Amino acid sequence: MIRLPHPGAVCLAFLLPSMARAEPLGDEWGTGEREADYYKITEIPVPAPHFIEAGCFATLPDGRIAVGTRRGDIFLVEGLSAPHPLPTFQKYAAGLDELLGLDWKAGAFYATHATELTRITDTDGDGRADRFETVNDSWGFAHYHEFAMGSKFDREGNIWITLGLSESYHSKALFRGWALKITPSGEEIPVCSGLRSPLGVGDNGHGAMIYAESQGPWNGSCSLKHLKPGGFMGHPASFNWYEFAPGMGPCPVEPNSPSRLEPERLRVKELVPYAVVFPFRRMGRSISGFVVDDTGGRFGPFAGQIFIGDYTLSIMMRATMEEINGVWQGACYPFREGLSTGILNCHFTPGGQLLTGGTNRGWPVRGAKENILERLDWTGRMPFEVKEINARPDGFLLTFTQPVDRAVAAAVTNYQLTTFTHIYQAGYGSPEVDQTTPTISAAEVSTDARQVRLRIAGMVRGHVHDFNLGALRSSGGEAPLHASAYYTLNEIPAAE
Amino acid sequence: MAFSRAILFALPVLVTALVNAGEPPVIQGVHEGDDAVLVGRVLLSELNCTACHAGGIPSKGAPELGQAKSRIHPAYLEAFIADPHGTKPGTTMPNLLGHLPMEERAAAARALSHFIRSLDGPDFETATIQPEAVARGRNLYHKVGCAACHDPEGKSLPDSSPLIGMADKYSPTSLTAFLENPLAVRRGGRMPDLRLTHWEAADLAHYLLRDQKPKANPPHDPAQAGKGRILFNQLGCAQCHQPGEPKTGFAMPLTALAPAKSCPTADFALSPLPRSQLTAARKVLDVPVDPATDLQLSLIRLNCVACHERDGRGGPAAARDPFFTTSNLNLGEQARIPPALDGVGAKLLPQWLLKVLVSGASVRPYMDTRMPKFGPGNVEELPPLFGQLDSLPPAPMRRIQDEKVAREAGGDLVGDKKLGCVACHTFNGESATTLAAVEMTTLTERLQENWFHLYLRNPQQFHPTTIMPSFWPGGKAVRPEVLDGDPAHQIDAIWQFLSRGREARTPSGIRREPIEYGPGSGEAVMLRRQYQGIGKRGIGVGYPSGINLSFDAAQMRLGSLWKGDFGEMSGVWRGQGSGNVGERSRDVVRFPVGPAFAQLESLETPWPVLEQAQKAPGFQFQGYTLDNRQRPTFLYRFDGLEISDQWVDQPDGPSLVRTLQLSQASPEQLYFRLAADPELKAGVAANTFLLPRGLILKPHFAGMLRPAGENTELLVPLEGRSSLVIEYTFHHE
Repeated sequence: MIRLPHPGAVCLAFLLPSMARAEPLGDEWGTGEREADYYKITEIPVPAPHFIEAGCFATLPDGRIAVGTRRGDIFLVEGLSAPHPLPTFQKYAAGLDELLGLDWKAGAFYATHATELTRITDTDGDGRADRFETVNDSWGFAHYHEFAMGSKFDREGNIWITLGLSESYHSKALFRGWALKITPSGEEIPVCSGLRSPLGVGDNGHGAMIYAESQGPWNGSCSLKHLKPGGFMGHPASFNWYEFAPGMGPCPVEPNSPSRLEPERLRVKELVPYAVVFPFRRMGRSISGFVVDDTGGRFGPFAGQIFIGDYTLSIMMRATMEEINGVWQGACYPFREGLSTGILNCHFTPGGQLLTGGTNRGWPVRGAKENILERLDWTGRMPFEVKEINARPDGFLLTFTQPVDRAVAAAVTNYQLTTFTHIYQAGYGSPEVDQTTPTISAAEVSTDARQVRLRIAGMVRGHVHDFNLGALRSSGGEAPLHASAYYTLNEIPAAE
Repeated sequence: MAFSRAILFALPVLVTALVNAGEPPVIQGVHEGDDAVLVGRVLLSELNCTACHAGGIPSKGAPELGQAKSRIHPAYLEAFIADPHGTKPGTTMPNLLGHLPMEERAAAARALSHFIRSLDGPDFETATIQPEAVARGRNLYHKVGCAACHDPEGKSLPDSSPLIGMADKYSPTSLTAFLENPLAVRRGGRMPDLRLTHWEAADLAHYLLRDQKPKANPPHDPAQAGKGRILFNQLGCAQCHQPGEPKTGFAMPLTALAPAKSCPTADFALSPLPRSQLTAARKVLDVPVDPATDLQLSLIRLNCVACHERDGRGGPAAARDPFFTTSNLNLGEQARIPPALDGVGAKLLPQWLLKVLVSGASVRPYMDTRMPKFGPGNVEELPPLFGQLDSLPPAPMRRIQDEKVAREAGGDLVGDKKLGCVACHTFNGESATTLAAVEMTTLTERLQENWFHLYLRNPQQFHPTTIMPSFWPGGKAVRPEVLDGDPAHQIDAIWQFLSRGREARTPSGIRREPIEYGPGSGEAVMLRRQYQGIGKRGIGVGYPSGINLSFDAAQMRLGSLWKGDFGEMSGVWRGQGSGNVGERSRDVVRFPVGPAFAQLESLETPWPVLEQAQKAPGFQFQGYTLDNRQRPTFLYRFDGLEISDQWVDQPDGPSLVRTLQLSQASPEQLYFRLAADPELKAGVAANTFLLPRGLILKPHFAGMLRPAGENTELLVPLEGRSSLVIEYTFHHE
């Protein structure tokens, strides 16, 4: 029983100033239970005494999955694709430092960890690595907070390595804040400056190399950026190494602060506009490793798209990209929440399941479990989602996973579209600013009802176009699993 | 506390037809002597009356039949349809075939079962019962909450939801699948989802079917299915069961029914009492239900009252109380018994309450009984109802305007130097002791601020038996030195501090377990991390013989040697990993920063100076190989020389033999520096050198000592050599 103090005995509460919402990591989408009907989360049990904080994955030719960890181990895992997996973990290699990149080629692992790119082989065939060869270690260190992420081999056999700044603010050692391309012969080619705190680097599915950047100075929000050779990724702290990268040309002009990316693009010609911006909190807070869906439909309707994790919110999101006027841009979409740890990386199994892993330590995280791997399986049910948004000269083309209800989709009032951008500044992050509301003049539904062409007045270059499609319905009357999508419009296509 | 007792509608009477009514349906959560209208409303929902008769009351629904052929043994399916009450006494499934003559009844049931078997899904699969799984399942069954609603083993409690005929109905495979996701089959949430892992569900299934002998599947007769489909439609099965569309106007609205008339279609085996309760409820259908009753109806229907008390009703019944257990008896009864729901609408934030109900979110890891999840669609109306009904007087709150001041003070108060909240509560999963009470960093995501203030001022007014102390007894702060001892400010400071969630700084007193790491099973271990005196390019190696080294891959030199255990890893494997590998010894011998090889014009030329962590010019680290005991040979290049540098431990004590191999004879004026230390001196034995902490160096060739500032250096001229062997031995005490 509750005995309460007599109301007369307590003074009335003062009028309290409004507090920041007591959920500092950001709201949940609230769609987890519905998402489970389409994408099921299965835990991959890790047998003792192994401890897995996955930072990278690779598939071996025999189908085993290799997992590289923060603690520096590479495990070979068998049986993790079973419906109710009880996999075996074999420790193949140990002793490396924060593994964040792994690939396999011609009998050898190529592992990117904090201090180098290492070729790792098992020369005596006992199932354990016994030869570790430094392929490249041409970057410096000044602080523990200097991570290195490595891509898979690109189409020319290079590995791309993105190097975080020192202490996440400075560039106190060689190439901190740069991306290097390591050629098949092990030579390094500096390709981009201006990185801040990269996590995740790889091909965007169309042959362009991209990386995941975190919100912070000169980054109003997290974004996927195009590692355009010679390009500047926005954070000028790393300008001090241009003399060590003669192929990069002269050091760019310092960007102004505070400003916007759009005008600075014109001033700083090397500045590559951020390709897909992930609105802070709504779409993650520390976007991380990504993978392109090459499962040919075994993972559902999103073949060819980018699946990307978020460390802080323990979620997976989708992204699509397109090149307009020579500049990469695209959209991001919510996908799955409710994972149990902070996602560092993800990987498709040979069976088309999406394996996720990460860590729970060092930075705040919603999924607070440690030592856990989880797998997302498509249940075979088709979610009703906006599959992709593409820019058009006078609007956008929306493609859906299922036919839409024509009448609903043809009504322009059923689309909410606003735009915003961020301040491009030396200070940390940015609020969303310069909001506009474009006018949708027509919504034309395609013959197969899977596409809607929106004709829009007031598209804004350099802005995130924030779609709310919650009012739409599938032809079966279903509401979209997720209502939101965010398209970063760096360029408007020329007239058709 | 009143104990719930199910209504057992005894005295079966002859109803519509000549049916053996069997046991009456068990409806959990209602009491004997409850208000007739209340019970009647529960019955209208639980017996699915409103699935056919419009009446403004939700019906609970019935199991999905889409995959029933995989779930239910064909023989049971047929028997159950033919005589539900006889096959599963206590079921709420009505008998729909009672109007048929006995022989036709059997044929109809067979046709219906074949129709259901013609629907989607893999065939029913049998499996062998595994005794180990049975044992684990028995433990789980009596621990996670099954026994809150079902009979504990060996007991027959009057209000149990029946588990009769399980072994005839399910296979271990199909029951496992059901238990993993009961809401997929029974969407109404009466059997909620206990959040079992697949393996837990399997253990429970094996336990529940422990006496089962696998049976063969009778063959499926597709010819029967067509007949079954017609019957399925005629009998209105789709009114309750998916797949199929319920028909509107299938029956008269509830209000239009004649009072006390029996259902002509479905026989529920009801006795006069529930009939009268149904009638009582039907009479007042147009009277709006007040929110308190509305909530009570939900708590009964979903049987929340099996575990939770509210308004003096519900909570574990005496006979079930032993099955509510905890892993932490030190936290008292609150660690064992699910919390009362009195005032919960003024305690929890509605979005958190929704998450608890929909997803089974839970914050009491020590409580063995699990909060189940009821899934979307069953519980959305509950948080607003709780919120509407529950209120608390406003607490005396005062906001500290300066967030920084507030958070600083709040963090101090939470730590062990002030109020010591960390003594019992976890903070980001860590705690100062082993008590591990409710996590603090998620507190402001869950609790209403007003409740937090009232609770902290006087926890006993909410829970008379709580072990949570009051830190403001009589309104006086026990820590008057913080924020002028103002209770409102102190509590606000804690709130503001905790509202940072996982981003709040770790308060004083949180104890971090060390992570010991070292060689096991006769093999060396290696870890490349940050080491003292080296920085990021350290490579540590721990040998089973109790000697350890760190190598510097930036300067190709020995960094340190120590004896004993290898390392304590919390500096590198906790948090962001900002620290060094903790060398597990007081006796660490450090070697000088700078390259190990150098060209010297003469012995007067000083050794080149490098800063720590700077890459040594002219050197390139190339990796290492490991032998079959994981012992490394480092590989590096210097000035055209390929150098291999092997470190092998010795079986008889803390000693290493180092062998350097050069790819060709070394050039002139090349020197190797073994050590530099103020205390370095020659030993008594020939060509031995002594370092502090009992470390003896024994090069297998002549070394020379020379002064170098405050140090003495031990150098080896390499001229012409292509290999060196050096022994490093810690003197035995």
